[in-house]
Amino acid sequence: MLCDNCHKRMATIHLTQIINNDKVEVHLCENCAKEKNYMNFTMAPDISSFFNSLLGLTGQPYGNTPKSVTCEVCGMSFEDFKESGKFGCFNCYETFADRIEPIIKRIHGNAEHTGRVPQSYSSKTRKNCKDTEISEKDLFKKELEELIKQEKFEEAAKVRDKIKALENGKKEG
Amino acid sequence: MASWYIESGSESDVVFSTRVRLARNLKEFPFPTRMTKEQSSKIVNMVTETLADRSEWARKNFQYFGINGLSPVDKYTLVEKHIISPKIIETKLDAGVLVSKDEKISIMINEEDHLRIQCMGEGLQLEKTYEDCVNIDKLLNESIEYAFDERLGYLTSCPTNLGTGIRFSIMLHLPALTITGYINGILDACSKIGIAVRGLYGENTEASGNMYQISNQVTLGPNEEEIMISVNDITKRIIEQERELRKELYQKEPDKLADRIFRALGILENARIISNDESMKLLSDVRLGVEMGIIKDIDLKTINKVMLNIQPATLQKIVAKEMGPDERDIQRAGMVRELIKNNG
Repeated sequence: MLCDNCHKRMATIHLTQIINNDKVEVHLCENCAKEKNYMNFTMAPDISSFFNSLLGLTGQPYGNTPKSVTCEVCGMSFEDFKESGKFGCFNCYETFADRIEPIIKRIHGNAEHTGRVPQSYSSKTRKNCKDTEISEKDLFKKELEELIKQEKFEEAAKVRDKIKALENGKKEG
Repeated sequence: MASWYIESGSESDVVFSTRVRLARNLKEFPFPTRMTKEQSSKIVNMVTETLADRSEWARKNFQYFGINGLSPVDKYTLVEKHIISPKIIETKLDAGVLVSKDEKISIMINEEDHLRIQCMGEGLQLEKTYEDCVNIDKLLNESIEYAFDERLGYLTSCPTNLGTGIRFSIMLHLPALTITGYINGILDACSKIGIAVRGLYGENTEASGNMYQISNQVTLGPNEEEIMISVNDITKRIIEQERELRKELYQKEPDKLADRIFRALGILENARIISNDESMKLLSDVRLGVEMGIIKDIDLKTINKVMLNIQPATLQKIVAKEMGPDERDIQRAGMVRELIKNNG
């Protein structure tokens, strides 16, 4: 969203004013907000750093950012992300790493992934990797349990035969 | 039509259903936001073929529906059954869904992420639905490489799903908490500990029929089991509070509660024109009556069946004709009367 005043820079300050019972929304960039004295109330520095930290802009005012970086793989810019809230590809996470960090912190806290990992990682040492291989037999067994629960015995019998066949096949192989 | 929707499971006096989903993306492709149509078709083919190739069980159990090939009624029937999201309907890409025969497992392809693996079940059953999800995840991952980062976990289009990419959702019927207004305190408390509470049909939807969906917000940091335990614990506490309040409501003014419940039943048994909204409200009261044993000759299964069948698209699908809102309200009233009279 562009600044309502200069129409050039990104609006980072969003104000809601009540004038004669009408709600008026104003979106300004930091420069114009300062100029118009919108930031002269006591909370101003906090609000500004709050918005900046949301957008991952800490320590670099928007107007001074030289040229917008785009992701090499998908061509997405950080402005595109701010508009949609969605990234374009896996590589965006690397391209915009510095700016993403505070966003991730805000959503998930100061966190690192400790959950499951893809199978290609399973061979590497990882503490939380308890994954076992998935077998065809187990999948059919689950289906069988479900069918019995639903009293669909005819179908269940077929699945049971299937499981037996798989078991026999294994013995022979 | 598959029947799990009408079954009543564990803690069924409060819990309607459990849903678990995993967000996954393929390494070699941009996310759906930046993908070409050709790329999206490639992914659809890769995923459907992989699933069929990897497992005979999957080949026998899954059917693929391309979104663009479905009629509007069919699309929204899938939305009403929670098999697809409203979002995927608006896509310009090649997108679709693989659905298991029992309609408990679905794999949305090219929604917000390349893959949304989802498993559902009646009542409270986090562990089983989670296991089902993981099995599908493993099958696909045997030949599809996922976008993953050691520190950030599974990479997703929206950073809110990073890490495990997992979302556990429990659908709860909370009339007593709603009537007494205590629900607001619960909503508040939940939001502080990273649990979201929404209406029945997800983000930005109202709690129609006093049905709420509670789910984890945080996906990065704790592992899947830890997230599952916290969702389970919170659900259990909400269930306890709802049960306590129901008892209290009944003990304080038994006639008032019974009056409310039987009036609702009276309208549903007799109405000739009824909107979706009104029926959901009244069904909530009747459901409460059944759950508390105040209404004895109607099963929860019947209520579950009515709740699904009266949704606009499902209703049109059953009646097998497209109808405007006015005609739907007449058909709906007829459907409700019939199902309640015959108890299912």
